[in-house]
Amino acid sequence: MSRRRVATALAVAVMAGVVGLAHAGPADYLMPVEKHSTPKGRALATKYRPQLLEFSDYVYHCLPYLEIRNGLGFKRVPKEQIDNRYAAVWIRAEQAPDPSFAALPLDRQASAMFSRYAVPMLSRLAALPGVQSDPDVYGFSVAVEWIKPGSDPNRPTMEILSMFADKASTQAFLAKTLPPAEYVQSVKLNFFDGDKEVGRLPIEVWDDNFVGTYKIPGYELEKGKVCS
Amino acid sequence: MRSKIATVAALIGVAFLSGACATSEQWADWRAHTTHFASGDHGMFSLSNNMEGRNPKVTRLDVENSRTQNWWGKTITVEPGQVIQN
Repeated sequence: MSRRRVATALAVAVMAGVVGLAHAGPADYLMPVEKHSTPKGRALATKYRPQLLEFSDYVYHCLPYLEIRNGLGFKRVPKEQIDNRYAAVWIRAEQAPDPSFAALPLDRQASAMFSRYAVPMLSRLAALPGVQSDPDVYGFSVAVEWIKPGSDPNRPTMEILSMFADKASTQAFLAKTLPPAEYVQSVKLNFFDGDKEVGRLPIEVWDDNFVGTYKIPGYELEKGKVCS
Repeated sequence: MRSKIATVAALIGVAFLSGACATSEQWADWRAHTTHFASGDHGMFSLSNNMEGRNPKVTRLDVENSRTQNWWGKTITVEPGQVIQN
């Protein structure tokens, strides 16, 4: 092969990679409309695409320590036949190992992650314009995943806490007219330890303003973006 | 002429990616040595693009580049369908 061809091929490959990197952004974290398994899901994903994009944009730029996983969209409870659709986000919380967290019992770890990340995500989902009054949206779902303390750094074990809640109780909880303990009782909760389904954990919810107050030292918000 | 253009493009691309890789190494180092959780000392994002640390800056692109390179490799986890149904 001539040097010219090698140079050209290299240039094309590298530039394709650069373009690929440059195009990764908030829109990539939405679940494509066609991946919603029912017409209702697809209709909701289409209808609320601007709101979902705004949500994704917020997480992408303002909470860079969180990563949306498996597509932001309108999903449902696993194995459930009825097509109840939940405005749903799955986030990976990136946190370095911390002895104080590792020392907590499992249910306290899960409670901490719920309080820190699930509640603000619920609040954001509930604020999506139009969703609260839409009869096709049954509720809200948040899954939070994190690395299990002490797991192999070369092949980490992920822990996942997932929840599904109806709109009315979520609204009441967020408005503080429903006590957290009662809200948790009404929520479908499931915990996963690596590849094992553990089931429901006794979750306690407390105030945690981390997401609303934490500013990353040195983090430069993209021009034109506002976090609120 | 075309050969020169291709060569210049290749060099620019390599330089860009090299920069991204260096940032990722710093990012990984930062991830390994700082803490995030509930301590009040939220030093998680101490990534610096200044080797002396006088002018620490982290952009969203740094984050994205690092994730693109898949920090953790394979993880032990359930299938997404066990957690949520599309």
